[in-house]
Amino acid sequence: MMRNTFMGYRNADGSAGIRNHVVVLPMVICANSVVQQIEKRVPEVIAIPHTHGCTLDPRSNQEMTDVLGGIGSNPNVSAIILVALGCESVIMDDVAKIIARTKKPVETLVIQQLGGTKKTIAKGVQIARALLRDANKRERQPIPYSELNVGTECGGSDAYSGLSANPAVGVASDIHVDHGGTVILSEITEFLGAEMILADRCASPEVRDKLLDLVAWTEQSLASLGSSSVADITPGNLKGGLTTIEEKSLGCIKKGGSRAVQEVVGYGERPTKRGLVVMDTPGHDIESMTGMAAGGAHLIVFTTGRGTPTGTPICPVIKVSSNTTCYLNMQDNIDLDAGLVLTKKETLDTMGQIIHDEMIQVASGKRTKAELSENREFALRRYGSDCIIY
Amino acid sequence: MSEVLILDQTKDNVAVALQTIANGERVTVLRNGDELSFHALEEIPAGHKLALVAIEKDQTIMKYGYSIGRATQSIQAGQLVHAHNVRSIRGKELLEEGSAHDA
Repeated sequence: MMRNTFMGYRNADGSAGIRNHVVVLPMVICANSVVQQIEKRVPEVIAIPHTHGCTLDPRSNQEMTDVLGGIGSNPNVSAIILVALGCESVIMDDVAKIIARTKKPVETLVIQQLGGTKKTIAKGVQIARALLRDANKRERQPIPYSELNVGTECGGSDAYSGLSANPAVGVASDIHVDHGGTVILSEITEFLGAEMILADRCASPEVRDKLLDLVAWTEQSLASLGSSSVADITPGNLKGGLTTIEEKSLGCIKKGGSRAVQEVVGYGERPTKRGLVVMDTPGHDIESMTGMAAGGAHLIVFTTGRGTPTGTPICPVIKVSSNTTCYLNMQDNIDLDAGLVLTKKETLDTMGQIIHDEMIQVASGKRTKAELSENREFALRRYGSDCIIY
Repeated sequence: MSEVLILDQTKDNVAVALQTIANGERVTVLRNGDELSFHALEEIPAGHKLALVAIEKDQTIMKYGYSIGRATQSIQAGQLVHAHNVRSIRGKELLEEGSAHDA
């Protein structure tokens, strides 16, 4: 019989969360010190400092507003404090309005109106403690598995990624989709050379057109950079045996499994359909994970061949190594070793089942290595600045 | 004898070394029912690719049954296939090489 529930939190707007985070989010880099010091005094909250929020081109400014709103709206966030300096180009009221739709508590602080840094920190500490008292009263309850939204990511890939970790995650993706759940396949840069495989699996001609247009736009952006003397893959990819972006892509897309592509959504946009969904994210791992978190992903399954420690502030990240050497070299950071497929101790099917079981346990509260090591990286996509595919 | 992996038995002209293969080591592998046997002509590091058959300059390199780029020089069976003798035709190479979907 299929297991069909995990233990999660039921939110005010009806959505389900797998974590119960109280978040302190700055609108701009100038507010970083305030959010970091609130977290220092109230360590149970999660501060998300970042380097963005002002002097952006209009398109990036809108996307950043939407993404910060999406981060606050993520179902793993139970309450949030927004901190503005007061003169930044990302408007806090716009972000607050997006988050308020989810009916969770949204508090706002403006440093320029509260008397400066120390007074804003004091006020924030007071609010954070009150929000935590309410959050800590919440209890987990059974949630249908179909409500779980799982992002997929790969970073520090090697030639084994496409042979073990990515296809094993693909098996887990198929199991999840067959339970009625949602899987996000990200990183459009890593579709180049493999996009026709996905195009042929699109649920409708409209989805297919959108996918191919997105790939063409991404490729033109890369091509317009002009210099082909710099490879589209990283030095680590090359050392790991990957030669071209096509080869990397053919391995990367295996994370999404084999089911139909139901929808293509923009960066940080929330999917409206269940099943396999493609999101427009860049190859930069952190920017990509931020996009999926803003789009409502509950957790992210992340494959690596070279080894990477990165996490997100609000979504647990399950790390899966493509080879056992990587696993042994980074046991603090890697949750599961798909290198066991290469040494024939597991098959792709049994490894996929192991990854799927881990997804359920993590959804129900088991902490991942990235959570235990407090890896909370956060970065937003910017236009025109990402030209190497990680 | 070293273990190499062919991802697509009918289309691929390269295989992946599952462990490092020494220069001169004999490689024997079944491809589509036929036994291929040759010597590694250089060291093939673990995870890297070697040519299963002779590949001509400008010929398409096939892995997983799909193009992963084009040979920039002729490659012999048993030689390392990597960035020194293969070029992508996608991404930043697109403007130089033409259409995205011709491969």
